[in-house]
Amino acid sequence: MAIDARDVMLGLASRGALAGLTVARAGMVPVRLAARAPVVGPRLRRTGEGLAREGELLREEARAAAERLVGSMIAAPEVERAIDLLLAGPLMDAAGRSIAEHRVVERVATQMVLTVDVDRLIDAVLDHEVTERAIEHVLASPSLERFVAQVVESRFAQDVTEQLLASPELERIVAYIASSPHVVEAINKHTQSLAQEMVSDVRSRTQKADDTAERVVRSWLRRPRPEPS
Amino acid sequence: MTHPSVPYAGIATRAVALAVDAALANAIVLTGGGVLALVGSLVGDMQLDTLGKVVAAAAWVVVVGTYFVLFWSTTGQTPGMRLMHVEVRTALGARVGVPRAIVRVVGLGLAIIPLFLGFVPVFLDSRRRGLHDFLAATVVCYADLETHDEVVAVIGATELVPEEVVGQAVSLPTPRPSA
Repeated sequence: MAIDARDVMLGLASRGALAGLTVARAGMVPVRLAARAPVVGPRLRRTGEGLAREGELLREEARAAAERLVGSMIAAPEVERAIDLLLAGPLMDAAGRSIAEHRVVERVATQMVLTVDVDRLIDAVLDHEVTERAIEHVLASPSLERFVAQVVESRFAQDVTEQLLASPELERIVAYIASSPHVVEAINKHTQSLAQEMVSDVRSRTQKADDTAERVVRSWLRRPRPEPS
Repeated sequence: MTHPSVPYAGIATRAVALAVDAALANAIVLTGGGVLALVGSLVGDMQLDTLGKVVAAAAWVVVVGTYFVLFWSTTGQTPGMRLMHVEVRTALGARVGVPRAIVRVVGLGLAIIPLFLGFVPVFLDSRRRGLHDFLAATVVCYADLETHDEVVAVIGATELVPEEVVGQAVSLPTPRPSA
């Protein structure tokens, strides 16, 4: 096996860092012992606390400076161009192919379904007032009305309707409904009531005709109708 | 239930009921005659001579007469009368018996033969009776009168109609003088 000089250098640097840490720790041992001493200890602790405060301030300043730096980097037009180049480049296509090839979405979805209580999640989403407001907003929206009208008037809706009307399933459903005892009973009742209405109408009309005919004939003969005996 | 101004059926109601009954009775006759003709055609050539025509006419009279007598004496209503909610009762409010029904059907024929002139008294009589009603001492009243009290109160024969005779066939009583 050939020895790479760069690996040797890295190994040496690692060893050197470890050795430095060990020396530093060893150097701190007398300081710790001195901190526990009765006279020198409190002064050393105060000095340590002062150093800690300075260090803390320095750390906060460094963090703020880092945040400013990151913010300026993110807002930089170079980053924007870089992202644009990234999205326009072949890397995204490759990532998409890789995601599809390794079925990442399916695996993630499966894990989510297995680990998350989906019913509870759906209930929570549906019961949430934001969802309710969103649904109300959508239903009240004139855009939805226009969309539905467009769908209804579209060729797609006509095709679907024609396919539905031509399907044997629809015939089966219609036959089932037509032979349903409830439907037959309702039709019979409706027919009977219609016939009864017609007969009742004829009956009342003939009764009126009875009175009219009698009145006319009696008026010709000038004979008023006597009371029944 | 609201009753008509007069409890007796007038000329229009009776005409509709009679037309329905005539259609039904003739349908029965024609159906029977058609079946007989079909059977006869299987046997041989069927030509009615005078006697045959007389027999056929007599059969027609018998069937039609039986139709009316049967319904009047059993339910008091023919199908046409049932359709129009009217029924035949005696002048005393009782149901019609077979003898009275026979008299009535003969009277009906007599009323029809002279161009329905036998129905003219329906316009003039206070109880809207025709010739056949006078002959059989019957009236045609609306069948909406369901209880005995209603029948008696409306027909006006309280003192003459014992409760137990309503709904039964009775022998011919002495007809009441018409108003």
